[in-house]
Amino acid sequence: MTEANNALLVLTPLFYMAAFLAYKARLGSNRTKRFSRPILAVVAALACHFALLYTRGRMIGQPSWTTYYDTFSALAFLMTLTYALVEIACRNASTGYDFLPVPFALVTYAAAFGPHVPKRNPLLDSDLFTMHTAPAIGGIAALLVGGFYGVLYLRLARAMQRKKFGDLFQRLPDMDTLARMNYAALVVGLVLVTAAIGWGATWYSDVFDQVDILQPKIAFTLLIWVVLLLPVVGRFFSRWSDRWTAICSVVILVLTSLSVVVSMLPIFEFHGHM
Amino acid sequence: MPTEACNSLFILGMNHRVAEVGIRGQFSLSETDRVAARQKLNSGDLAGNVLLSTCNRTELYGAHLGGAQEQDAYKSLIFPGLESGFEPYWHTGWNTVFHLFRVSAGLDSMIVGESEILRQVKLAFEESMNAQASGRILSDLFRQALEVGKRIRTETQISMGSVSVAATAVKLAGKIFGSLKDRKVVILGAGETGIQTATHLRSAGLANLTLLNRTVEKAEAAASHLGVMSGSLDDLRKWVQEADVIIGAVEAPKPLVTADCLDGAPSKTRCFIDISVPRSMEVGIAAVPGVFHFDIDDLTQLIQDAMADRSQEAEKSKEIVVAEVHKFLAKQHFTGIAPLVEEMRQAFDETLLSTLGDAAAAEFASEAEKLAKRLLGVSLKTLKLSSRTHVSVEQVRGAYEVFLKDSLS
Repeated sequence: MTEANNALLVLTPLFYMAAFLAYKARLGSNRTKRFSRPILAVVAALACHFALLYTRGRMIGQPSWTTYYDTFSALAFLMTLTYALVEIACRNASTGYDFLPVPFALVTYAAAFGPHVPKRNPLLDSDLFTMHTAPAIGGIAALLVGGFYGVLYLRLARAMQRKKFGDLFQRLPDMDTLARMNYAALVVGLVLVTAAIGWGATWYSDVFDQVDILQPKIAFTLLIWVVLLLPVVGRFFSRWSDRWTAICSVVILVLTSLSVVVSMLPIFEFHGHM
Repeated sequence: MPTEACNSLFILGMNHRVAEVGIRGQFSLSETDRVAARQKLNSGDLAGNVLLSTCNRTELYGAHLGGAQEQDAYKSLIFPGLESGFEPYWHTGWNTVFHLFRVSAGLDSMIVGESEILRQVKLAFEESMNAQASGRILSDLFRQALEVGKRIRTETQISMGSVSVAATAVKLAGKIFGSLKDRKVVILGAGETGIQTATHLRSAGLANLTLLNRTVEKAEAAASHLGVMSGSLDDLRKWVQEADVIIGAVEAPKPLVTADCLDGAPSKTRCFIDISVPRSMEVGIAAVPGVFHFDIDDLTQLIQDAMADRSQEAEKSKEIVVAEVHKFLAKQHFTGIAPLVEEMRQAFDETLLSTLGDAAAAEFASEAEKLAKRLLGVSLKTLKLSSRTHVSVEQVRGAYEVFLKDSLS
């Protein structure tokens, strides 16, 4: 199992690199084919990555996010999964060139610096806690993907308003498609974050006597949830513009990144168990 | 081998290369402007003039009778109040021929190889002919320019996969809205460009399309033919507020669509594409939140892509243009010596008669004619050879006067 795990640690970043190169080769062609070569390359990378997460999980008998490194790896997997699903649903394979460097960096970082033999985390023995962490990581992944699409939307809108019809204009899909991808990722994110908050609150009240709302991680999570609710509900029930949805998703991206960083800071010890 | 007639040719103008759309709009010539300008030009010392005014160029082609070509006078007539911003181009002689052939070939167009310019050149020429203002050399020039335009489009693939301004405008709107099928599109103007754009949108499957025009009957006629809706420009504000995409293809002295049109309108993404010259939409409209505004110059970048594939065809076309310029100049030279040839023919006949006498001329008519033709043939061959060198018609005439005329008399 360890040999397989070590091989997969090396192979997974290479698969991501191959997928990135497949997108690079297709730059400028906004194909509407559901399963084009770049998407198949992403699916291959996801399969390899899933095998890596599975072997690590099997080695310790726990979900494979027991350390920061493994959490980054799981986050990269879920981000790519969300990305692939959104791309397949929207029939557009033209943003991988911009997106794939992010999971590639996370996977490479996790493979290079993380323990080759995963550590056991006693907290994950609690099913309730595992049920909290799984949607939490998935939610963060979806929000990051949503933020990514928000950034692309705003960059394209800016380029068009400035009448710059260069590389960005040529290679990105139309603004409407980007807006739909952005919204789809935010909806997935809202569902998962809501589930994560629900399970987390239940687990938290079981373990601790009282909930500290001012705890930075909790405060950030609630803030993210509120900001996330605005574009999702606003667009669904009223004519909330694509631009404002994109702006909100970028704000959420920043808040989510800050939330992840803050929870890692030793002074808060929120994720001290990792 | 420029002839005197060719040397009299000139062109004064501006196009999309030297002036941005705002300036082009300022100096665009309406039919009334062209009539007024032609009246002034006809009263001057021009042997002919043709005024070509399209959305991408305003040009005066002329042939001068003699004396200095009054560039400044023409400039103040065609580009009144011209200050800074651009300098009109001024070509004379064979450069004029070369320029017009490039124009009619579509090599000087914003969209290389587009066919619309050929029609516009034809219309400009016909307008000048109808006003009896074209003159002989300009008529020859424009007739050959039209032939060159047709030849290039037949013999090269310069027009293949042609991207029209209308198609580019639709592509641009598609970059914002994706599919336009469910979008509400309004076209201002039921003229040729408006109808061309509407046709393109219809073929792309768009259903919610409205043609607006000042003359409602004209809009209705075009709309019923295309199977779209029609309306009056009087209700412009209402249409602009409701539409997602507004395409301006209307001739108007000042912008019809202003930022005020959106006062009180619900906030949403709107795309304004102005393909009219002069502008039919105020530039300031781009400052309204959610508005994307493009004018004809903004389409250039998109059009460049289509042009890249045509560089090889453009090279072939340039070779044809150069060959045709030579052909035109040679033809003009032959035309220049035609009176001289006729004069020589008559001189030979007269010499024959006076030398042989009427009776002998009748008796030896066929032999005498053969001899005359042979002698004349040698002389004409010399003249034709001279026309292929840098010898002017006046120099040929001079040589004839000195050597041949005396010996014949």
